[in-house]
Amino acid sequence: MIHEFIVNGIALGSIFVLGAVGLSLIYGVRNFANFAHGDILTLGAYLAFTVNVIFAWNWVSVAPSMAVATVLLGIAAAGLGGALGLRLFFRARGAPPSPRRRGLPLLFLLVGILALGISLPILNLVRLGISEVALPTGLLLSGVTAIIGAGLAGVLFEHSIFRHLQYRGPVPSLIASIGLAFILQNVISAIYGTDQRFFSVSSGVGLDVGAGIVLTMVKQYMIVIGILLVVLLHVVLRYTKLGKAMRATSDNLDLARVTGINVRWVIIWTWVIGAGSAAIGGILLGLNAQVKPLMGFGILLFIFAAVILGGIGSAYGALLGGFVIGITNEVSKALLFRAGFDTAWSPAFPFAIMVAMLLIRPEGLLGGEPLVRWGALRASLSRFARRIRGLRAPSR
Amino acid sequence: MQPLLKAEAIHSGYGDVEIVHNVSVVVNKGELVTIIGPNGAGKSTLIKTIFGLLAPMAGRIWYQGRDVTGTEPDKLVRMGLSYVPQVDNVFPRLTVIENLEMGGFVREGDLTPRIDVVLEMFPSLKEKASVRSRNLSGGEKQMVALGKTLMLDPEVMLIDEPSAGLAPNLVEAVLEKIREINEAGTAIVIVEQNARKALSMAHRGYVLDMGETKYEGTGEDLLADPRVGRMYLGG
Amino acid sequence: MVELGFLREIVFFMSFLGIFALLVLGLNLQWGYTGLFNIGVAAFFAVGAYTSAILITPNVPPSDFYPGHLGFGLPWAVGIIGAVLVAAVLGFLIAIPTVRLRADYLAIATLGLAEIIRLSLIQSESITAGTIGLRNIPSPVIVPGDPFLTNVAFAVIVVLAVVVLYVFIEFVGRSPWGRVLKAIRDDEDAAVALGKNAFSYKVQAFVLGAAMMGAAGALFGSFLHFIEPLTSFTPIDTFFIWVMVILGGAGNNRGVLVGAFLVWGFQFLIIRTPFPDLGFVDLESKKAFLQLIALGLLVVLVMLLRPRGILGEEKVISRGVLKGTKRST
Repeated sequence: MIHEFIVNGIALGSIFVLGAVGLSLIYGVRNFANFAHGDILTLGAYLAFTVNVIFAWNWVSVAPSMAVATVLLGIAAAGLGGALGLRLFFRARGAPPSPRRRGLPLLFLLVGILALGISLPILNLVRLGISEVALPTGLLLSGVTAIIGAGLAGVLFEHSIFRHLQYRGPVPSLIASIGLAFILQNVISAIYGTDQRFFSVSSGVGLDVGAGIVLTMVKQYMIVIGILLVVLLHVVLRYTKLGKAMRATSDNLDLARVTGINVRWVIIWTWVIGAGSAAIGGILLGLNAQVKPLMGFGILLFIFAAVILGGIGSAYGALLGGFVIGITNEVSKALLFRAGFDTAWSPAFPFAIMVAMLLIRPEGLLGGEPLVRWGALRASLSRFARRIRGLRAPSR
Repeated sequence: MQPLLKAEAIHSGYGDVEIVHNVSVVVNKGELVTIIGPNGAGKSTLIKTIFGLLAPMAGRIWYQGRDVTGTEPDKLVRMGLSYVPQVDNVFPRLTVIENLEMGGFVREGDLTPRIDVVLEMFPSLKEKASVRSRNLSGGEKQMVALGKTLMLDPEVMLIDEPSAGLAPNLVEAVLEKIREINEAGTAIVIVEQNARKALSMAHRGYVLDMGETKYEGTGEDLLADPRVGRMYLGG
Repeated sequence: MVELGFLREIVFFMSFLGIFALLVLGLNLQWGYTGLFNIGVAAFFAVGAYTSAILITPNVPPSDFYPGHLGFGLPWAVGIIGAVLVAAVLGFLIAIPTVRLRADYLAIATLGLAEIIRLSLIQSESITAGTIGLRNIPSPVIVPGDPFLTNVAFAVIVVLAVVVLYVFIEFVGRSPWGRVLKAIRDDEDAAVALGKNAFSYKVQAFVLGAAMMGAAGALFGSFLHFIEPLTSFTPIDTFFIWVMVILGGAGNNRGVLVGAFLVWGFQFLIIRTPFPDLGFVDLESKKAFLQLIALGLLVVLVMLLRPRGILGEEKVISRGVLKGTKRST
């Protein structure tokens, strides 16, 4: 039974990761805790929901050959994105092309990866020899809409609010973000009402992954898209000039400025990437449960927990933190259940981890000084070894 | 000959507190200029003002014959002026190579050849190329900070107390490295607490105290001046 | 009769205003005076409300229709004293580890703790009646057969409590103790350099603020006679209190009271103003959301345009004293 909770934890964790990476990067680059980040998730989910409703993308039933074709198309799109991304990679060590051209390959890569993510679970259906395969064509469209919409919203927030508060320390921006959170929640409530909504997705076919666990179609999406986007983020952060500049700015904004890094450009793209990945997280959250105005605010504390666990400003920390918090939440349900408690207590565990982390090591697992200094450890071991050898050596 | 960099009658400070009063500094091409003086003399304030991090209350800054007063630091970087802060001068979570790449952010074209050149100047960094810079020693960090700035092959480097917080044997190595950089043709303005050593390697020096220029002259002259020696070099 | 209706409204308005006033004065002591970024206000409010309710309401055993709750049926005064004490103890327990934290970390930590507390109230069904809510909480003074006069008595008690606490806080704020708090807020290093134990002062301010929030909770329960943790004591309540403090001007007791008056007055009027049905959209049904959007916008605008609030902070001598001590060249 515990495996099942772990798998659920990974699925949930991928949502937290998608939220936490953006929150952490914005926290690092802009130096404030964005309490509206959860509502950016919600915004993404509702944008996708709108497209879902308007285009009624009930799955199109097609023959397996068509399904295979779509999968290939998805892979091709991902490949194209990947190729453009690689260009970025090589560019990273070279010239900075004008910022305008930079977004396009990223977008391609994102679309490609989404297509791939949506296609992969379909392969399973083909493998099972199901003659009529339902294709979630609209999921792609919804996803792209949500990413772009949330990304633009992020830039708008930066431009209209947070840019003006940047020299006044972390508190005014934080307070303004709380205000923004309430604006977003209630604009969404005013437009859509507070009823729970559901994406129109057929339940699809489960994937038996062994150990008695059958992943539902939605869980497959969550895990595949989650992992693929994490890989994408890794590529961007590790190999592109933008990603490195983002990490650099997150490390030390003033130094980035005196180094000649175009800090405004970095900040804008951090918002786009942060809000865009939050939007995907929102869609996955909506697919997993339901779409409602407080869905994002409801998981904000989990996202904060992930960010703080990993270390503020550290994208990799957010990744680690997201999965740890996701798994903790689900596994604690299993433990609570066994101990005879109500599983509704489970959020207390991630929150407690967060508070404990703030008290013991506020810089997070991957922030600040490394937890284990391998170099120093090696050095002291070899010193120790030398001393032992020295003891053994015949005295002069 | 027109000076490369000239700060003219600078008044500067924080908020409405004036710290630097009417100080002028001239740097010629290829020169090593040092600014010395006791704690709180306004040395760092002056250098930050020259680099556009603080707006001067009065005075002008000229670079290559152009008035650059109030120009943003990132523009100055593109023009060939660069600055090494006293502390926190490397990106801790970036590797050595990534730090160098960021140093070359505004550079056009492939960075690899330049990275190789810079690593050649700091051989000790070669084997640590993929180590995150927060895991480096203080001396190594200072080398990364210098190397990062050299990525653009600047005309002038403003270096704020490179020896701060370093062990004495490392101070020697870092200052030696700065002299090498200068000998390769880069003009350098260095703010130092380590006045004797700084003056001995500098072409010219300025002695700042209470935000005013007390003495200026060649490094040798200042070293030989008994008043400077008594007041600022510890006898 | 119209007159009485109007009076009823006034009494209702004043009762709530008084409860809000206690909350904003408590938060002002923590944030305005000491710079402690507590966004777990709802937790202390809730703990006060539940402590008092359990102390003064008779025990109700579980039945088929009601989960029941713990209760002692003690006199009303015991309830509010208990509420203040328990909220203060909770404040102390939370303050000890957290007040050293940076402002933004403290914010996240207090929000996390507040949610854990709310979760506990929801889950501890046998004690709190869970989400069904704890009912029949008695009023402090009951005028037999006259609910109106009962409410008037309540309003008088609340207003008296506010006046007493306002005078107390004003006095404390101007005392050397209060000046040290502001000094710590403005420049903790300098205050420590002057030999002040910043940690101890911060804990004291946090506990005192929490106690006031606990008192507000006790009054809240007695006023509504009913409390439940699903829609009350949420981060939204904390947000309301924050809007009041920010609008009025942190650090200024009169300012935050004006803030409470304006925000609660705004809400009170909105509730009583019928909104038109525009045909394509019925604004009446969207009122609650529009009101929160307006408050959100207000917070953002105040931050952008008047970060010190409408009234701003009163000039206190300590501010200049510490200025410039930290600067280096």
